[in-house]
Amino acid sequence: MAPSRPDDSPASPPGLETLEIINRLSQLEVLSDWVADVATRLGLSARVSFRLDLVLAEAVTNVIENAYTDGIDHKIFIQVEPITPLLAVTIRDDGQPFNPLDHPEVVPPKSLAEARAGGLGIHLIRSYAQECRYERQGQENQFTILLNSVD
Amino acid sequence: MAFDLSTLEDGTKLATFAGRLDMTATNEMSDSFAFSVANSKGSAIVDLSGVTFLASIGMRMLISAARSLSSRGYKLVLLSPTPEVKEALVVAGFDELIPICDDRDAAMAVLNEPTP
Repeated sequence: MAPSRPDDSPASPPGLETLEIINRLSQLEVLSDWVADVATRLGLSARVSFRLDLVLAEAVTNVIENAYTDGIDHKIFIQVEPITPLLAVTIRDDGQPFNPLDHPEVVPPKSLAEARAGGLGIHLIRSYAQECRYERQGQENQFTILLNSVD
Repeated sequence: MAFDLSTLEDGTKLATFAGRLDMTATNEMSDSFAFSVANSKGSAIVDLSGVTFLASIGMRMLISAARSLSSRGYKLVLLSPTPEVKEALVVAGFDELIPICDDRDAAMAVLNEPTP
């Protein structure tokens, strides 16, 4: 199924960017291409663009890998709204309740032997974000990340 | 994403990545990177100067290689990441675990330091 970008409703605030993808890891490429376009349209710096790219890739990967158990296609809705001096990044999905903020804070490893895989994605999101919020609304997870929109 | 491998005169491996080190790229090349660098005999320099994006899975590939080399008495050094990639490595705390150098001479100097 091809990804699609829903038309903004007439009431959408200017600058609101939206994307709809399917819960497949192959869609991460669609996501990164879209982020590049959004960064150009919003005039983001290389640093802010990289941060937006990274937090979205990590958050959407978490949803795809953790929020579904039924093996069928689901839509994931992504929104970036500039609210100067912030970018409000929102990810909505209809998977099972999954709060990425439930993952305990990662303690930075003191040695290579201690360094382990779990929780690095959410650690990066938390570190780059001014604020993160999770809500369960009806049958949907809604995860919001507030990023600085300027360096 | 491109991945090239060469061997320097002293036997050090030089792995050069270019492009996005995201989930797709990391999954595609992690086996060959592990085979040719992480599990090889000798230390390695990983040139990140052409890497435009680094996801957590790519970071884990690098840390896994560094751990594998370290366990056998070798080292891994990261060379010339962009400011954005370097920031991500610092945020992850990996700059404390893997040396990050701005040029090849500095990287070679780190590799030639005696292991404590």
